[in-house]
Amino acid sequence: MMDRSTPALGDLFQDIILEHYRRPRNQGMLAGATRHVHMNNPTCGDEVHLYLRVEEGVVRGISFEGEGCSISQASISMMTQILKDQPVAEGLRLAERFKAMMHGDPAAAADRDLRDARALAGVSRFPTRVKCALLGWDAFEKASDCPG
Amino acid sequence: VFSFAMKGIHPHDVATILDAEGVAVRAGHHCTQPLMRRLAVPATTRASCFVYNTREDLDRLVEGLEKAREIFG
Repeated sequence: MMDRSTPALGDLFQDIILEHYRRPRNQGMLAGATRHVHMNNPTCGDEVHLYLRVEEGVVRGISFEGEGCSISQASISMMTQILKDQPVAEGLRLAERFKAMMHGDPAAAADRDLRDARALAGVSRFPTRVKCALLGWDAFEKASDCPG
Repeated sequence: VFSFAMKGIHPHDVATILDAEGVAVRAGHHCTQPLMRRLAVPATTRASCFVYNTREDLDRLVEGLEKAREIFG
């Protein structure tokens, strides 16, 4: 049965999430980027420019510029750490794992491949915030469709 | 009705924290994106009070904002 108790704020604003928010990894433009995708969430204003340098199907470089809430920006920062040096196909698999976690899948939330992003598992209990956490991964999926 | 911004804390984060404290506010653009741009803020948090609100309700709002500041330090 679904747990309907009020979720704890501590599940949402964990230290590691706030730390990524304050000190984002891989922030800025990427020299030699082969792909650039801009995505925003018009209803809340969260925004990301995602830059990738893909060589022979592998993400050799990744960075972002963004603006928005702690959840969206921390999630993107964590994502760039996960995807660096991964094949694009593996990145897409991880995007599916992350989405499963956002839908409350406990197996996905325990998947070590998601590294720091596992701290975002609690977001699944705040339905209005799930789209914040997904913004970066959506941008990566869009970028993976581009040629080059 | 008043809109406000807290330094260093995104309005949606403020709203989530207030929600958990039992205080319902609106966060976002309030359909005034040009004004948000003019004010150079990503969004604002908006509290709407009416005749049924009590002094205690407002105290809870303030406590919630203090909690937000505590979390985001």
